[in-house]
Order: sequence, then C-alpha cells, then structure tokens
Amino acid sequence: MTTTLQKTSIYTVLIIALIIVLVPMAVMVSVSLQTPSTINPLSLPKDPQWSNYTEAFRTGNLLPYFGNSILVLVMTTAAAIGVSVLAAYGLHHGKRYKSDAMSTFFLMGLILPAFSGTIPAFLVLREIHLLNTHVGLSLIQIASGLALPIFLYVNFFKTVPTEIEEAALVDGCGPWRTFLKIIFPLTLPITATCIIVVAINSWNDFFNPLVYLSSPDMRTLPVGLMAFKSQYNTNWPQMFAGAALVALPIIILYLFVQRFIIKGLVGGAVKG
Amino acid sequence: MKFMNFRNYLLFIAPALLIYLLFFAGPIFSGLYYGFTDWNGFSFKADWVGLENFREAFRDPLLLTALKNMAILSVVVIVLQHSASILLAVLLDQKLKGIVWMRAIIFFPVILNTVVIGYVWSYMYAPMVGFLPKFFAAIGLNGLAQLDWLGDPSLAIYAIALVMVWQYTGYSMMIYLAGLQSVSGEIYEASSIDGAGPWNKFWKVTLPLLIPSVIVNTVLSVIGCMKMFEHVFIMTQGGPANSTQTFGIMIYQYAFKTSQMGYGTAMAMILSVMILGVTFVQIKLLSRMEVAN
Repeated sequence: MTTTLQKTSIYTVLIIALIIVLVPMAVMVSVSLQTPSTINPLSLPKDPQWSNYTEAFRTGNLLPYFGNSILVLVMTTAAAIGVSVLAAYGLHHGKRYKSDAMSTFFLMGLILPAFSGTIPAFLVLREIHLLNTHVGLSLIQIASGLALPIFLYVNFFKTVPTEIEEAALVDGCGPWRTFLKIIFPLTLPITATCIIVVAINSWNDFFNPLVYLSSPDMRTLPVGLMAFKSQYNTNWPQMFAGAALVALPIIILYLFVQRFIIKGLVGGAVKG
Repeated sequence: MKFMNFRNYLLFIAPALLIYLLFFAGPIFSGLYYGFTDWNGFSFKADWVGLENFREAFRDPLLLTALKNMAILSVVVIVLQHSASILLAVLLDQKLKGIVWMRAIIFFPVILNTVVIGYVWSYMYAPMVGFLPKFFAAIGLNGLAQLDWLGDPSLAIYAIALVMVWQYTGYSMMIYLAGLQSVSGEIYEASSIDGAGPWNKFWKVTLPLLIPSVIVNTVLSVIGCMKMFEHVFIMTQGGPANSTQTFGIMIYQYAFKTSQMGYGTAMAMILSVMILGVTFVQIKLLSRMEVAN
C-alpha cells in the first residue's frame, strides 16, 4: 500500500525531473520570441516577436536546407529499411551458413565509432565520385545505421511461427515470394518503428553531412544551422528561432508516435 | 528443408553487406593498415612507418587529455545519470496518473538534434546573460552566478557532462524500466510477506535483479562517452585551451585540419580497440551472471 506521504514525495521527485527536462526547452521557445536587446531568460516574452521566425527562415537560408534534409532522409530511410529487412530474413534462415557470425559482424555497427572509418570512407566516396552528393551521404548513413533495424527484424522473425513458411513452401512458394507476399506484410508494425528510428537518425545526423558535404548549398539542416553561430554571434532570439524550426518536425512526430520511437531506440539495448 | 539455399541466402544479405562493407566496416578495417603509414589522405602514396604513429600518439599530450576527459565524462554520467535514471525508473514503474506522458517527456531530449541542444545549453551556461547565471543571481547564489561554465578550462568538461546527463537520463531510464518490468511480481509479493519495506525491497530485491540492466546500460553510456564528438564540437570545439578534447574531436582535427590522416587513423584504431575491449568485458560479465543464475 502506498501512503499519501509516499505518493506526495514520488510526485515531488517526478515534478522536479520534469522541470529539469523542460526548462531548457521553454527557455529556447521564450527567448526565440524576444528581442536581442531586452532578453530575459527568466520571464516570458511580453511582446512576442514572431518575425524572428520568418527572419531566421529567410536569412538562415533554411528552405533549401529543409529540402536537402528531406531528400536525404527519404533516400536513406527507404534504402535502409529495404536492405535491412532482406538481410535480416537471410540471416534468420541462414543458420547453416554461419549466419550468426555474420549477424555479429553487422551488430558491430552499433558499437564501433563511425569516425574511426571516416578518413578511408571519405576516399571511397571520392573515388566513386559521390563526395559532396546527397546519394553519397545517404550511403554512409545507411551503412552506419543498418545494425539497429537488422537487429530488430531478426528478433521479430524469431517470433514468426515456422509453420507459416512451411505452408507456403508446400504451396510451391520459394523464399522470395514467401518473403514478399507473406512475411513482409507481417513486419509492418516493426517496420513502422524502424522507419521512424532511421528517419530520426538521418534528420539529426550532424557528423556525416559535416564531413562529406563540402559545398554550402548541399548542406542539411543541422550543419546549416551551425552557420547561425558565426552569422548571428550574439543574436540569441534568431538562433533559437532557427533551432526551434529544426526541432519542430521531430517534436510533432514525437507527439504522435512516441511509443514507436521509444520502442525502437531502446530496443537495441534491451535483450529481445 | 531446402527453403533457403546458399545462393538465396547470399542474395538476401548482399545489398546490406555490400553497403556495410564499402561504407562502414571496410573503412574501419582498412584503417588498421593506414594507421601504420604516414599517409596524408590525398595522395595514393602511403609509406609504411611501422609503430611510429602509435609511439607518437602515446607521447601526444592531447591523447592524455582525451583519455582524462573520457574518464571524467564516464564517471559523471555513471554516477549522476544512472542513479537518477534508476530512481526515476522505479518511481515510474508504478501506477500513477499521467505516467505514460511523464515517461515520454523525460525521454524526449534523446531525440533532439545535437545542434539544437548545443545552442540551448550554450545559452543556459552563457556568462552574465545566460539562464543559469541569471537564475543563480536571482536566488542569491552569487558564487554560482559568477561561473563561466564553458569558458573555464577546469569546468568546461563537467558542463558538457551535465548536458549529456540532461539529454540521456531518459534513455537509460527506459532501459531500466524494461528491466524492472521483466522482474516478476511474485518476488515482490514474497518479499512483502516476509515483511520487507520499500527501502529494503529496493536494495535487497530490485537492485540485485537489475544488475544485468545496469551492466548493459552503463557500458552503453561509457561507449557513448568514448565516442563523444558532437556536443563538444558544437559547444566548445575542444577548447578552451584544449580542455575538452575528445578522441572524436582529435581525429576530426588531424584528418581535416592538418591532413595527418595516417596519424588520425592510428588514433581512431586506439579508440576502436578500447571500445571493443569494453564491450568484451561487458559480454564476459553478463555471461558469467547467466551461469550464476
């Protein structure tokens, strides 16, 4: 039985935690609506300057960056999901071809730091003329983000009863038709999780576009946003309006599908 | 059952394997070779220099700073983030009103863009004008209000560690929650019957059962601290006076600022080997626990 005193102390701790999490976000939004000369982080904006947002969007050149980010996100997500669901199905059924060792090899992608291979990968992209292109960036993002969807799919396939595949085999279906017609439709819930996680990682990726995209008009949002720092040295309201615009799509997405997001991001760490 | 023959198996894994080999694993492994050369990254000429890069690396004062910062980040994160997240997980494992939303809000910073986080926290810390100095001044803590969090070489790495704690407490909390939910209710009932209070239950039942989650979770955090790049790059760029250098920042600088690619790759190899070592220890610990159970 929980007593009233215990309940009160539990809520007190939780409310303190929520405040610590939310205050920086509230400060960002509040400051983004103030004027540079009269910033007060401790108070709400008295006369909200919505023009900071339009101004940030225009002078920060955010429109093309949004376009670049979306393009990379779509390519990365579509391809990453496609190749990882196929690979996971092969790994699941390929036990007699030492697929466990192969799985471990893929899973190393979860722990090895991508920047250990940055310099050679830079040269690979240069050799195949994909340096400073969105396709090149996508390929790097797919490769470094494959491990998690593969892991989630392999765990999912373990829960699919083998009778389904045996029945399909008896009916004359090969592995490809079985996969496309029967198994892939079953994966849709886990595919939704994988899409969201891969998409968020692509949207938030800072390191890869920083390294592999050199010309300013190719940049994606996070790197584009970096330019604000030098451009508006102390214009915090405008910087924060830009930052809020970059965060907004993720915030909206999170409001609707937070369960999937949490499941996907934590899934790699918890034994399935 | 000849359901999946070798040819089909290869065809299924080929697209992923090809991309993974060309753009992730291959580059990391070829670093094994380049780490032993004086390669500048632009010419094809890379002369074998043996262990020279590694000898130089261990004499490099920056490597020592990076190791020290890796240790500071790991200790701060393990102590603060993991005690906070275990506490929050235990509290949020109960039936309370609005619990789903509380979990969701605490998790939220995990998915925020690092550039956004870096900007917000640069402002939180900004001397004189930022949130923390103004807040501490308003409540009369003038000593704290005077601190230049990111500008003081002895403080900056701790300031960055706090940002990581702020961002990732929700992440480790969720992993602990998953661990708690796999503990069966019967054990708690049994301990209640034996007369254990909530305090005793936590120390004698909950925590011991959580140990596997603690191992996985803290090792993930340590690996995260070892790979530290983005937060530092955005908030301090490794400064002031190199006090926030990390392996990630050094490798980036050697590779793209001074074109010492062979040397930078050697550093990357040292880091990868350390990360593999930490992971190996984790697997050993976990498998020993499974045997003990």
